[in-house]
Parts: sequence; C-alpha cells; structure tokens
Amino acid sequence: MIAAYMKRLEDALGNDPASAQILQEVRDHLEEALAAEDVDHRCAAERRVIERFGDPCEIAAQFAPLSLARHTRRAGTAVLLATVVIMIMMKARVLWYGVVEWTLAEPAKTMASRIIMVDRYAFWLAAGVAVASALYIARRPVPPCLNAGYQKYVQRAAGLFILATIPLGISVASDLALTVLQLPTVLSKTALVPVVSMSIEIGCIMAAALVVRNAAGRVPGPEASGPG
Amino acid sequence: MQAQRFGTKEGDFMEGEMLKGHLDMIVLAALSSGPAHGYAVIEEIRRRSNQAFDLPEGTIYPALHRLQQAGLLSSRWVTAESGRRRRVYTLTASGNRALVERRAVWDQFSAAIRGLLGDKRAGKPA
Repeated sequence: MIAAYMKRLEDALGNDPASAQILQEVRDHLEEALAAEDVDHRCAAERRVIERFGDPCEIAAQFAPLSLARHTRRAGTAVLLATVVIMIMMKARVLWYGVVEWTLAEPAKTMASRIIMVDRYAFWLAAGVAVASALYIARRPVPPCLNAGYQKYVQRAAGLFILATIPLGISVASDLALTVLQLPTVLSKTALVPVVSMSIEIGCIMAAALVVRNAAGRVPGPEASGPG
Repeated sequence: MQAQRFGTKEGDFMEGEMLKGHLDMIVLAALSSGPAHGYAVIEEIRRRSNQAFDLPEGTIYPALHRLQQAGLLSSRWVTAESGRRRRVYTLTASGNRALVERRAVWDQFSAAIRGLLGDKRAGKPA
C-alpha cells in the first residue's frame, strides 16, 4: 500500500529536480509513522498512516511553486555561468593570438572590426540582462501555493533569460566567425587553443539554451515558449 | 483537557485554512527547540499545541522546503539508528529573527482581536 502511495506521489511530482530527496523524506516519514502503529494489523496501520499524510496530488501541488522556482533559478545559474565561461574563453583566445603572433590579413580586417563591434555589444547586452535576471529571481520568496502573481513573475523571469540567451548566441556566432578568419589555412598544434575554446563556447551556449528552454516550457500559461 | 482539533474534519475548514495561513510561523516555532526531521516537527507541533493542530502530515514538507529556500532553515542528511537516511532541519539566524518578528506581529494581532471581542486581557500580549 505504501509502495503504491509512493508511486502516486512520484507521478504527481513529475520531474521536479528535488523529487528524489522529497520521496526519500516521505518514505522515511511513512516508515517511522508505521513503526509507531499497531504492527498486528499492518494493512489498517498503513491505511491510517497514508490517510494522515494526505492526498499525493495535493502535496505535489504544494511543491509546484518550489519546483518552478528551482527550474527558474537553474536557468538563471546556467545563463550566468555560460556568460562567465564564454568571457574567459574569449580572453584566452585573444591572449593566445598575442602569444603566437597571429594577425589578420589586410582584406579581412574591415570585416573583423565589424564583427568585433557586434560581438562586444551582444556580449555586454547578454551579460547585463543575465545579471539583471539573476537579481530579479533572487528577490522574490516562493509562495505556499501557485498563484497568478507568481506565475506572471516566473513568466517575466523566463522572458529575461531568453532575452539574455539570444545576444549571447549572437556573441558566440561572432566569435566563431572571428576564429575562422584568424585560423591559418594549414592547421597546426597552435590552432588547438582557438578550436578548443570555441568548442567550449558553443557547448556552453547550447547547454544554457537547453536549460532556459526547459525552464520556460514549465511556466504555466499560454505565453510559455522556449528560446527557439 | 483535550483542546479542540483544527484542520482535519469538514467542519474545521475555516480553522484549517487559518492554520495553513500561519504554517510557516508554526514550523519555525516547532524548530526553535532544536534541529528535527519532518516527522519530529509534526510530533512537536502536536505536543506543543496540546494535539489541537492536526494538519495532513504531508503539508509540512513543502513548508520545510520553502522555508529552507528562503534561508530561514538549513538541512543536512543523517543516518538514523534504524539505518534510514533522514533530513534534519535547523533554524538559521535569519529563521530565528523571522520567528521573533512573526511572534511580535502575532502578539499584536491577537491582542487586537481580544480587544474587539471584549476580552479583559486585551492589550496584554502573552
């Protein structure tokens, strides 16, 4: 009976990031409550313990705002982390170009200066929005039940993350274009640093976009949508 | 004397809702006597309310998680004598401050209600 109850609760919790911990806590609670009951009538004791614990759907509904907050904070962390890693990779590559004394060919310089401008504005726009969205999600406490005000708040937070991810993607695309322009026609070991750093940047932006899309997809309401 | 029980029967709907409205303060108060896991928190609430507060036990866990996310509680996993892993919650410094603040608000509120109801103890918070 308890196993069936736990399965219902697991299903009701869905893929809450903390569901494994919640289930472990609940299992411990039910076993302790059962130990305090009359062991001669185990079936009746299990029924009483489950009744006292409450309806799994109602309990899962009370965890819903917490789950939404966890997904939203995870998205915020992913965007911030991606921004920091991308900045480190950009700086590392520029430093490496100085060490190996790679310079651009004259015809590519005009195009590169335009790309650098796009890259710079896109990156700082993304960084600004990422910090603003992190501050925005940190300031509001999680309500006991999912209400319209909190839903709107999470929708706005998801919108901010999408807004940060788009220019960050543009910045990474610009970095890729600049790296292609910088790379010599014959690849050598010295090209390893730009290639690896660029791969890390692409991995970061893809991971951040996936986490943001996942979080945005959980926001209740017809406006919920992923980053594209 | 057995106190009136709140929260489980149909007729207790209003009292149950009142109880849910103050659940955070109740949980913080239960943890003020020391670290405890979820089951022990419920037992402490029942004991200190003279069995009057009898919410569905599962209600306590979303409240514990929410209070932890707000920084009012911290938690750690321990292994009990039974060998089961259990999560033990502790009031943080912010949680202690929040409890003091909520208690002050509650004292003012209950004194005002007693005044409205013509209770002679009005204006003398406990």
